[in-house]
Amino acid sequence: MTQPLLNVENLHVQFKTRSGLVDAVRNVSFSVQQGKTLGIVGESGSGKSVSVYAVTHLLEAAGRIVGGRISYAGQDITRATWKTLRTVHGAAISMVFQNARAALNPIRSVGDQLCDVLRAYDRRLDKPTAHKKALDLLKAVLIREPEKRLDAYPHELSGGMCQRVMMALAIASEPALLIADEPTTGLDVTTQKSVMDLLHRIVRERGMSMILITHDLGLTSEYCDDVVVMECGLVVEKANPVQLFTDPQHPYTRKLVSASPTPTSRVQDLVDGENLLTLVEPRTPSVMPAGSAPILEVQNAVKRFDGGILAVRGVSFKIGHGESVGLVGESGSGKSTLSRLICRLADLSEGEIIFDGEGIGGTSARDFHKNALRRDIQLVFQDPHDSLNPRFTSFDSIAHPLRELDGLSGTALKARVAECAALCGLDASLLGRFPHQLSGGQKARVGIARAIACRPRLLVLDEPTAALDVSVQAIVLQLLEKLRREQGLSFLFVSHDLNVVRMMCDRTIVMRNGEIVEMGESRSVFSNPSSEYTRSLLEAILQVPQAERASGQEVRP
Amino acid sequence: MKNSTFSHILWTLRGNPVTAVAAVGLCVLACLAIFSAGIMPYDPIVSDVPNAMQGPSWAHWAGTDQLGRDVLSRTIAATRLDFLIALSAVALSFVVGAVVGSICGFLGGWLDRAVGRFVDVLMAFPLFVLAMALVAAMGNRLENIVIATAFINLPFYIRFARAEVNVRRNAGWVESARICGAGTWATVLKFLLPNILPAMAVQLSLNLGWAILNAAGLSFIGLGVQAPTPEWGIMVAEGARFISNGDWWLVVMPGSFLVVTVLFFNLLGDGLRDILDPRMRT
Repeated sequence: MTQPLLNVENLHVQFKTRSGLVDAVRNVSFSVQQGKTLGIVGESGSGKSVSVYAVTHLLEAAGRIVGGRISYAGQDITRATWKTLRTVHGAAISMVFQNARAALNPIRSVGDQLCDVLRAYDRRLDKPTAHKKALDLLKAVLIREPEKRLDAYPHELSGGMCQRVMMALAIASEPALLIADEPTTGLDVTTQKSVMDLLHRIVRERGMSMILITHDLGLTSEYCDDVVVMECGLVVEKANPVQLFTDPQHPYTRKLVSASPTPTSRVQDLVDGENLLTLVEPRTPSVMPAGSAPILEVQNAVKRFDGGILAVRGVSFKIGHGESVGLVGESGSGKSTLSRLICRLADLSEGEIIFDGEGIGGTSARDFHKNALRRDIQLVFQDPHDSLNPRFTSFDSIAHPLRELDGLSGTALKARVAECAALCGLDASLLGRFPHQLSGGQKARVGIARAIACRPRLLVLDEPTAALDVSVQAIVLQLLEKLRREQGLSFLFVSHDLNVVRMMCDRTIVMRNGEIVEMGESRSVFSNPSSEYTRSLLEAILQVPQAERASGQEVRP
Repeated sequence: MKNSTFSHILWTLRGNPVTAVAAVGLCVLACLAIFSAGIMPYDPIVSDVPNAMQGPSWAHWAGTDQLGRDVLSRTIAATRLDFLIALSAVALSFVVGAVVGSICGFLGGWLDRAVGRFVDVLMAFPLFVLAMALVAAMGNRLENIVIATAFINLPFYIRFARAEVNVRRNAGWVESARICGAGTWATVLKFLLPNILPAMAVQLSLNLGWAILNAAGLSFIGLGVQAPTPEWGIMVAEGARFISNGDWWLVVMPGSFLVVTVLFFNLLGDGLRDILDPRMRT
């Protein structure tokens, strides 16, 4: 084997915290070969970012490399000074960050930022040449109308475009190694696919190596030559992606693989071993019988924002009692606005919302808290952290709707909170904790416990697992399904993850530009989509190698 | 929970020794204010003319004034009055300002615009002159000093609360309050106010120092508290007449109390924020 481009041996990084020294990364070794792509997969807190940030000396002040050796092209850079690094950085290693919009300077135009980078590595470059090179870079990352975009500011570009600009900046210095830290997290599926395809192509064409840090196993299967799986600061498995999916060795990898939803997975298979659903009666097909009254009916809903922008343009659909309906679309499709309208957080511009035979669209969002139906429509928020009052303990958060809507207090309140916490698998000892003392999954459980506290009939789930790790997502999805079966809830499940919706929902609605483009039973929508748009969404889903098609050795030629 | 709160305070103070010094200093001053009757060596009001204008001695540590009253006793007695004025004025402006500012920030609209312009007008005045005018107009009484001091502090609280609420009004937990059935008032009082408290505590502490200066300033120019009531501002004003004769001790004691108190309040601010923010606890 030839000498690897980057070699990390027994890396050990410590962080100084209030409760003493914490080992963020222990004994981590990996190497990147010239022209190859290495994936580093792990959930939050696994140390995947820390180990790579140590390579680029981007650790924050509290972090320190206490052991191990990092070498780049044979040169030891473990304790290199900034001056030596400067030649290595950028010129040899550059980075693509997670949130491109935040990583770009908001007050300088795209062209200026590109020229800054170009001229930082080549002082002799004059302005017109730099400008021309910047234009070439924008063309290389396939930005439409690159001449116009040179003068654009980051806020004028979409998320996907910002990520392309970020990539242009990263390749401006013609590095040999590109580090991409969750480059597509937060982007739509179709955007994710085009951005990743482009990144992959650029890396191949220029003979660069890449480290792809991600929590998404699917991404590594499509774009990486080798994968390193990390858990709690340790490397637990190294393999090529096909082997990783078809024959995972370590229990943690097995857990991750089974927790990642695929087109064929079922909710009950997501979690290895313990299965919440075995105790619950499998649901009878709950597609609405013809002629029965729906629990929710949306008639011609229109939402017009100030300035005349139409976010929702005349949407109509029904949800039956006990039915689970998926609402799918990319950002800007109006699905979030629609769910806010149904939850009565925003006012309709036109149309009507009928809940169990009663019109609720006429009551203004500001006054809806007094409505008797408030308790029947509850919402599980997208970001479990953002949706909990930082100054409320878990108990207070779950108790809040019970106090406001049911007027409970004293022992009755305590009993009901404990009951809801138990239903959601939230340990009673966690009830006294504040949100920042809970993990993501625990916060999600608090949010769900709060939503079901008043025994609602319709639960609107606004991307309830988008901010969670896959293994936590698996548990939360099972929990939601269990609650639905036990409590006879109806779900409106808003999500951009088609595999999740396919698994969780009887019927699916596909939205685009504020309109419904397709609606029908999930099975038929996913197997035989009638609209071009749904088809493009389905094509963008990452294909994960399955046991039966393990033969393909070459990954994405 | 109680225990962890206490240990959290200790931890914060250990990390900020300056805050610890300020906190201890303010505790001492507060004790002086509360137990002044027992601590003062002499009666602060009764004059003792034969002993007038004595320099510092073992009998009178800080000397005596033009009527023979013990300067140290008068300074200690004044602590209570000055703290009382500052605390009640700041409490008043904090409560009114935080509620008005939060409501404006949360609801926006015409109310927000109207209050915003009112605050702009208020801030365009030289505030001390405004306080003078208010006391002069309402009458020279203790409660009017408190009201005037509170009033000129009000714009800062309204603006601050409004800005802090504004950045939080669209947070998920505010929307969740609505979903859980909380009306506008419940959302503002139970959700938003407690969350902006840590940031406001800093403002609060800085303002306490400022309010004391303001009260002392008002009585220095003859508005506000009247002689013979012991008050730092009056004491400095009276002492200033004799300073050209070389009788420096009349102003040194009340003046340094004033400086030290204001300094302590200013230093306390940062530590207070750390103590009150639940996210700083682990």
